[in-house]
Amino acid sequence: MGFMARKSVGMIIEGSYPYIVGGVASWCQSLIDNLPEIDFKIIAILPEQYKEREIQYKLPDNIIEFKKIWLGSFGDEYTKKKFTFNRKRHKEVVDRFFCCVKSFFNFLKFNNYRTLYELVSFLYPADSSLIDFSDIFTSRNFFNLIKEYYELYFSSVPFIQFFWTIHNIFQPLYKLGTYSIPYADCYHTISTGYAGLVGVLAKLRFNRPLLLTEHGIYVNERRDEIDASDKIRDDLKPVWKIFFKHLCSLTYPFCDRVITLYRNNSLSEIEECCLPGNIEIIPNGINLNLFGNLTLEKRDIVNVGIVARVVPIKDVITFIKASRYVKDKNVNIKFFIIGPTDEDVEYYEKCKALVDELNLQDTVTFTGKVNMKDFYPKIDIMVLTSVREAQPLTLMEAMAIGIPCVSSNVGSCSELLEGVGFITAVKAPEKTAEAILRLAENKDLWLNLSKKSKIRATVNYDWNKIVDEYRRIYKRYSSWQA
Amino acid sequence: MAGIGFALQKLLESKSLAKKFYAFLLATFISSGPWLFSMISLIFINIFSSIFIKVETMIPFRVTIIYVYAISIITSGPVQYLLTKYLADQHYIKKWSNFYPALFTAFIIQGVVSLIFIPLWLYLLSGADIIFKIVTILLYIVITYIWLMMDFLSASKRYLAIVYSFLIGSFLSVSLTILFMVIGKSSSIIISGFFLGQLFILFMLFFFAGRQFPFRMYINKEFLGYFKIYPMYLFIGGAYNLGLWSDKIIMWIVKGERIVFNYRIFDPYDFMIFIAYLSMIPALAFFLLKSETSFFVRYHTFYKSINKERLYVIEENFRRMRFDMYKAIFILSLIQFFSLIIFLVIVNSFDFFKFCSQYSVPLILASSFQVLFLFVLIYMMYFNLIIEATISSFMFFFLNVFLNLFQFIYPIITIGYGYFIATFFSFLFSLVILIYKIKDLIFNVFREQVVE
Repeated sequence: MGFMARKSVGMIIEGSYPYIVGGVASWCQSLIDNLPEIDFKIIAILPEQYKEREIQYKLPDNIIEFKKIWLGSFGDEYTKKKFTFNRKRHKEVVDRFFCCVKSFFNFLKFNNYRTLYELVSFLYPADSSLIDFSDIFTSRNFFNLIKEYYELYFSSVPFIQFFWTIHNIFQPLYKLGTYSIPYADCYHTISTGYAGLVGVLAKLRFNRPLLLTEHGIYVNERRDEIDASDKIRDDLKPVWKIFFKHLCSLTYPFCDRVITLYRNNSLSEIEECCLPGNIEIIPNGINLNLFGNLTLEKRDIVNVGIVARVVPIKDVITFIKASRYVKDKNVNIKFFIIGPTDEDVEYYEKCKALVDELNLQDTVTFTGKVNMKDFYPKIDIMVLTSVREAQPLTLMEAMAIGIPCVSSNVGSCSELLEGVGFITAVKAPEKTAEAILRLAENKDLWLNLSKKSKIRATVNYDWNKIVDEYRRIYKRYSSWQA
Repeated sequence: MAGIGFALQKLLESKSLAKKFYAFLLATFISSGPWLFSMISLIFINIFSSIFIKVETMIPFRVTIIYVYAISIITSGPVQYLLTKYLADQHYIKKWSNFYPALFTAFIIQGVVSLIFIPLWLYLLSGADIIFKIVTILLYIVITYIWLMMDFLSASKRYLAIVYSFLIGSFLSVSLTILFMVIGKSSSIIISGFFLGQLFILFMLFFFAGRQFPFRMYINKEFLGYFKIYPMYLFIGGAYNLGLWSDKIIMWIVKGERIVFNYRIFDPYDFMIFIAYLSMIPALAFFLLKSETSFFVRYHTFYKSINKERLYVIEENFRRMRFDMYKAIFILSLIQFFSLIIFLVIVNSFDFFKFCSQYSVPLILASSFQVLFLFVLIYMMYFNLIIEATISSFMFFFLNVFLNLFQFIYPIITIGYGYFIATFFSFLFSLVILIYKIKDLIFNVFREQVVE
């Protein structure tokens, strides 16, 4: 019997754990909690505004290090002048950085992937610690480069906006390169983007394996945000989109394993040049002990529920409209909107007004935040009308109890419900109503789908099995020898 | 453009030569009015004093006024420059509520600074009676506050308020001084009259300030922060004003005589300086005209375009602004040249100036380059070339001290030429620096945004 040193996993998370309560953060917390035999070193990449926030989770004891990397403005520690005696090396490093910048401008126009590899090779030896912020960002060379490319390709844009676009792209990259990363036996990044870049740097610095789990596809989320933003000029949006596209694509080639939640995600990753052979699908999971043993209550009235925060992304309005269509055909059905109503008060008021307008005061109930364990047994049909989802836990929980589900075709919902539930188009209240009525009025169909849902949830979405998968992966990669 | 700028611009744009001349006259009043009114009041006081009292009785008063103006400008220079910078920034972002509190804070700081110099006054006034000492010290403090009030009203473009205050206040100063002269016939009484007049000027300046800004008396922490963020302005203010007076102080000590108490003066030099400084008036008026009209417009157009225009527009605005500035410096130099010639001719033509005319050439030349140097310094501060302005100010100070001392050790150069060489080289040096540095203005503006 020998002493087995505990293995460590460097978990790299961007803009989430442990400051935000949400899907990804809860997933991280639960995974770490359920792997007490592994030490975790959290590397959290956070925006400056989180400095005022409180940590939302009680950190498990097996988190042995918690490093914060603040993206955003540079404090005094970065703008202070540093002096190095090795002037030749200093010049080499500065010149290399400017090569990266020149290449970046080239790739804006010519889509050259090499650029960010050069950037990575510049950043990973932490050479950036040799040079000052002022060697680059307040230097004449950097300004001239920006000016040169502005005049070539962006001369119709207000100069200051292009100037700051380039600064806002390169400053965080430079900043990331200056941070020391704690050593771990393997690294696990929970997204591409900046977290992915830190993962790549860690891999190159310490020659340890890198894993990636993607919940949503980072580049798609950034693209949607950029499109929706009114703070970025339309003619500068392509700069950001191309930047994020390449930043995200950079992570995949360095990953030893890419884990995603569902098949559609893996197709997006392959499109972003991830090797198909590297991808493994490990879905989300739920605590079957908590939900699998609940029994549905028997009653005469059919209860239809949506478990969601009352916010636009959950499209509660479509649910309310669907309830009107259902009510017109069958009065013995009640509808419950189960979730907090205080996140977007304006939207909540809009939903309430619609309930009044459609005369559904006796049919539709807003429950607010409730204990789901008590509420699930009251629900006969679970509905999800979201306009965007990844892999919703509420559907899995409903399936585990045996509640048949109707969902809009977003994220992994079609994979979740294929053959065991109903899928409709997004924003389709009539189709949603049709599916609800079919389940409500056909007891055999309801029983059949209830049984199948329960089996699927038990077989595929048992959180304990998911944890075992990660245990296997961590054991394999943390023990890897060069 | 605010306030007087509009009025001046309208007059200048008119086709009438008379209106253009009127604009120039107005600018003269505004740029040199306070100083001119003060000088004229002293001249009147001196003339009337010869009727009512003995010459010796006026000496303590006359010399004290010189020393009060010298020491007040040297000791209030640093706070003045920093206050002007702060108020200019607040004016740009239109935060008027910060004006009065900044003034209040400046008053407190300047009050403390002035107290530090009381021992110097006690030394200089050794032998004077207690009333004379008290009134002189109070007069010194009031004059330093008047400088600050002038900065305050200038920053808010209330130039005419300054002119009115000095016009009425100077009249009152003269009247009270003569009245006290008649009643008292002692220097303590005479200086008290003058002091009351200056106090009235201060109150009038306050009155005009109070009409524009809400009266708020609390410490402005943001202005206090400027002492830490922009200490260079303090150095510029200190070095420039010390440099301006160092040749006079050296003359007083080395060539001058102890005239009363511990005062030393060197009359021919002092009088010639006064005449030489009169020759700066046309250039000062023209500079005010330019800075309040076309340069002001181009300057603000350039800085506004930084935040919203395409690069070629920014560059075009920069070129126009730079051209306007070079043109102004050229015209100022021409104006000063003609003024220099006229004054040289006048001073060397009349017997009245015989006792001091040997210093006319170097001192009138020196004052010409002095005013041009001042303009270049102001442009440097407009463009945030603060380190360069500081170096130039210190260079001026050290050159003026060194050359004026040197001429007494190795008399290669005669009196007055030390001052002239100092101002000449300071002007040349700062102009070269300005021309060289302004090429990079656009880069520096963006660089400062990144650093902030």
